[in-house]
Amino acid sequence: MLSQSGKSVQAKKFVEIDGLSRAVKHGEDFLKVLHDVHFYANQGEIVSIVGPSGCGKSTFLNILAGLDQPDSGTVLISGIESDDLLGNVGYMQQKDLLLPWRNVLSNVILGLEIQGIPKKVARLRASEFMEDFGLSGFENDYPHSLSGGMRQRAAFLRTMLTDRTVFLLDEPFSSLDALNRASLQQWLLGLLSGFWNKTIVMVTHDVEEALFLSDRVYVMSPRPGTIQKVVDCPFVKPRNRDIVNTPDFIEIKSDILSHLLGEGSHA
Amino acid sequence: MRNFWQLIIDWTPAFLIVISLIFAWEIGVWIWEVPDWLLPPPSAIGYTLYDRADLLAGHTIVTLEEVIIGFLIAVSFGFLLASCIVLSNMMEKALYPIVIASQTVPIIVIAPMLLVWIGYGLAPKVIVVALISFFPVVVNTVDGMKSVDPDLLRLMKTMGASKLSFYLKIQLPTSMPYLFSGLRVAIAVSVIGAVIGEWVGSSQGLGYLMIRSKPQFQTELVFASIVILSTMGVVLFASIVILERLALPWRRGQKQ
Repeated sequence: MLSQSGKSVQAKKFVEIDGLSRAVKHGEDFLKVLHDVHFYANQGEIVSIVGPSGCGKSTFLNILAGLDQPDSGTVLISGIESDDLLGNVGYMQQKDLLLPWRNVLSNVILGLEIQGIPKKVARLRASEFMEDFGLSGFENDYPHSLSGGMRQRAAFLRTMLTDRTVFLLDEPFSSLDALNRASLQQWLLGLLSGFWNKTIVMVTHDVEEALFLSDRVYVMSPRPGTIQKVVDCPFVKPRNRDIVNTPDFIEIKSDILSHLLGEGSHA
Repeated sequence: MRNFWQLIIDWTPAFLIVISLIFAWEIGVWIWEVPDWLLPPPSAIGYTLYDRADLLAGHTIVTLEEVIIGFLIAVSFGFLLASCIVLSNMMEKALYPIVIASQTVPIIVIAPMLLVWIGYGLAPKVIVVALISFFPVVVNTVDGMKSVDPDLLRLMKTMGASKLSFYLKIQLPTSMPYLFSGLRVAIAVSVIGAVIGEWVGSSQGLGYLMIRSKPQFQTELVFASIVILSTMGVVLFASIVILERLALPWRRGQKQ
């Protein structure tokens, strides 16, 4: 599972990225999107990346998902190298991407179907989680009749059911209104601390969201994206909404914000 | 039940216009004493429909058969072609230009040649119907399969899906509403195709009946055939709409 370097590490590093760089073709010349990014996430951690739009966050996630390849640097996710990542990492995109022709239950088992699990078995497995995901009673409804929050929870369940060890979340709450977002964040935190011992890499531009959910936050600079700052979130778990008003939280948050804004102004 | 009344209300204006036109026609023919062979009044056409029902029914069945067989061939062939075009870039480059080019050759030119090559009977008419109606099926299905959200392709890839399972689970269902739009156009032109096929050379069918009746000044038979043909078109069109509602229940309530 681990790299054969022989170095023993205390916590299992499930995501390990060293010196990652990526440039994409932009007209005639190349545009540096990511430059020398170092990043890690231990098993069971939630790690976030915050940064301004266009800082290469999406490219970063695409590389972690195996949809894109790095120009240089190493990417190792639970022992798998960047060439073989496609299909081995759970990736939840910004849009819920529920299929309009499938009801909720059939939508959430899409990943299981692709893994070759018989529909009957997959449905049974999914049914166990409908309650926790607030979807019970809506199994046979089509996505268009669901609220935004429910659609997002269904997309979560579809991602989680694929049973990967590492999940990538690309701005998972950005399509929701503030109230829904807050309640969904709280719900996700409860879910992850409960019985899902999953490693999560989340990209967001919402600093409060990143701090509230994560064990560690990476602050990314505008293009070319580099890691400017790594912030450990000292807040004890289980967390609840109240911590966002504590002096500690506000201090860290404003520190990150000033960093982001400062970087933005002379970029 | 509410739907039923809504349907009645929706169709009332069109119905009233048709009724008024029929009345105007009837009265006009009567006032200006237009002879029957020139323009028969609606009442005479209606009477012909009743009086010559056996004759008309025989020819209707022939035409209907041509339409349905030709249409089914067009749908299966068109769907297969669309899938090939979408699944393989090479097939797209090889086939799509030919599909488009095939539509630039007027069907009215091909129809007599089919007669020479294949002879009378059902086959040449079915081919004309299929030729005229496969195009909207192909074009719409290809469009539908290509309209898939690129993010869905990314999602499927990260789930480890193969090209085939992307086609089966995403592209195929996405194309269904587009396919049905194609079918609605195709069924309408199918009827035209059958009549063209019969005009060029045949011994039965409503198109043949029209060609035969005109020089005999049996104009009311020509009009009776037209009435049956357009009724046939409307009924077939409605069947496609109903089939679409049954096959794609998720479309209901999604958008108007």
